[in-house]
Amino acid sequence: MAVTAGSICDLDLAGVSEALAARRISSVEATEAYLERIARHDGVLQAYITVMRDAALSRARAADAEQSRGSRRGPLHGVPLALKDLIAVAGVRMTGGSEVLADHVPMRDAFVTERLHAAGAVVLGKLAMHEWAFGRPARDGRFPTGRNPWDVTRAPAGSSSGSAVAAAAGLCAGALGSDTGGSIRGPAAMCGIVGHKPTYGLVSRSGVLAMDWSLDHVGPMTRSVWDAAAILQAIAGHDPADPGSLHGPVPDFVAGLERGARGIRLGLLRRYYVDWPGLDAEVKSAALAAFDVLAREGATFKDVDAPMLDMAPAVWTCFLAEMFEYHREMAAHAPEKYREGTRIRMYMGALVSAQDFLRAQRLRARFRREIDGLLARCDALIFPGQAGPAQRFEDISAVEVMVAGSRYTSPWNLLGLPAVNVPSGFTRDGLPVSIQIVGRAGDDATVLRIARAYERVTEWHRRRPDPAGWKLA
Amino acid sequence: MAPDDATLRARFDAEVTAAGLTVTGRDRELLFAMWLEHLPQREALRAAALTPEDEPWR
Repeated sequence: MAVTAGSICDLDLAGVSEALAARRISSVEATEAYLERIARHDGVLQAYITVMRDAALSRARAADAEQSRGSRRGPLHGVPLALKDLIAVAGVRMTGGSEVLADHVPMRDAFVTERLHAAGAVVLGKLAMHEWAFGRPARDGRFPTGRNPWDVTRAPAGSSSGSAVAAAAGLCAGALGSDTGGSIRGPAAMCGIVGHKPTYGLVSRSGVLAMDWSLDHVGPMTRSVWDAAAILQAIAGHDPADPGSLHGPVPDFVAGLERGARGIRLGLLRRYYVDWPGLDAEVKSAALAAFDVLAREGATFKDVDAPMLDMAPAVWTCFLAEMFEYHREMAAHAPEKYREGTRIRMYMGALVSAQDFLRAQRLRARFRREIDGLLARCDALIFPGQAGPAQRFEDISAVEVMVAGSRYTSPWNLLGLPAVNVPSGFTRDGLPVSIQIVGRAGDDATVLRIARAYERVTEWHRRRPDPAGWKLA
Repeated sequence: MAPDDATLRARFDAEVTAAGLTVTGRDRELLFAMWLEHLPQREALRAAALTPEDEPWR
C-alpha cells in the first residue's frame, strides 16, 4: 500500500510501524506529517501542552540513520508517540496541567520515557490533561484539557484527555496516559480508541506525577489492540525506583493476540453494570451486541456478581486522602494556583478520617476476595465500558466528588487488575461507545487477547473522526 | 430521623477544624456541598459489618 505523509496520520500504530519497517516512509517524514497536523488542528483540539518539534525531529533522524545501517529496534522504531504531561521527559517542561507546575522542568526521563526511547520511539510532545489528574474539563486558561474529535462541543473525559484526543485524531500514532479511577479507560471510551490500564506494578510510575500512589497506573491509549500491546511490551518491566514495581519476567503481550475467544469464559457483571438504571440505552444495546459477537467467536458467558461493587465508590473516595497528603504543603501555601474544582476535591481528601481510611482498606480487601473468587471461575469479567457517551462541556459539573462514569472504572483501580476498553460502536449522534474487559492480576495478555478477538471481527476501530468538523462555531 | 441542616453544618465545621484546613468563603460552601453529596457513601462505609477476614494483608 502506498503511504504518503498526508495519509500516515490515518493509520494505526501498526500501520505506521509497517510503513517505517518497509521504508515506504521515513521516521522524519512521519514525524513531520504529525507535526504539520498538530499545527493545523491543535488550535481547536487542544490536545498538546508542549510540542517537542526539534527534539522529535532529531530522534526521527537518528532512527532513520540507525535503520539505514540495518538496525531496527522493534515495532516502535521511529514511531511518533506522545505522553500525558505528567510523565517526565528530561529538559522538557512538565506541568501536570496545573499552574502549580507551570515552569517545572524535570532533570531526568521517567522510566517509561527511557523505555520508549530505548525502543526507538519518537516523542512528539506532552499532552493535555485534567489538572493533576483529578481536576475537571477546562476550555480556557493556560492549560485547556482538550476537545473531543468526534464532536468538538463535547469533552473527551479525563484525566488523560489529551492522550485520547491525540490518538483518536491522528495527532500521534499512540499515546501514554495514566489511570487512577478511569483516566485511561474513560477518555479512550469517549474518543473511540483502545485504552489499557495494566496490572498495578507492571509499568513503573517513577518519573510520573502521583495522584494516589496505591491506585495509579500508566498505560497505552491507541487506535487498536495490537498497538496497545506493542507499547505495553516496551514499557513493562521491573524498576527498582518504583516501590510498587513487580518483579519477574515480562510476558509476551503480542504473541497470543490472535488466539481468538474460543474457550474463553467470561463473567458478565450484569446487576451492577448492565442493569444499572443510569446506563445510557445506546451504550447498553451496543454492549449487548458486542457480547453476542464474542459468544459467536466461541466465548462462553455467565452472569456473575460481586456485592462489594456497591461499596467500591465509597472505598475509592477515601483514597483521596493519599492525594491530599501529596499536595498538603503546596495546597497550604498557594491554594489559588489550583483550579477551583481541583482544590475542592483535594480538600475532600483532608476530611477522610483515619477510621474511614482503615475501613476502606479492609473493605478493599474484601472486594479483592470477592473478585478473586469470580476470576477463579472465569478467565475475565466483561461489562459496558462507560455510563454514557461524551458530554457537552456545559453539562459537566465544575465541582463533584466523583463522576457517574467512574462507577465503570474506579473499582478496578482498587484491585490493580488489568482492564481494557475497546470500541464497540457509535450512538445515533456519532459518539463512540465501548466495552470493558477485566482480567486476573498479571494476565494482561488474556485481557488484550479477548479485546482483539472482538476487534478483529468488527470495524469500529477503523472509523476516524472527520477533520472537517474540527472547527469552532 | 435525618439530621437537620444546623447539625450537619456543625459536623462539617468540626471535621474541617479537625483536619486543620483553613477554608473560607466560596471554597467552604463548595466543600460543604461536596461533603454533603458524599455523606451517604461515607455513612454506608461506616455501617458496613466487618469480619476478621477483612484485613488488608490477609
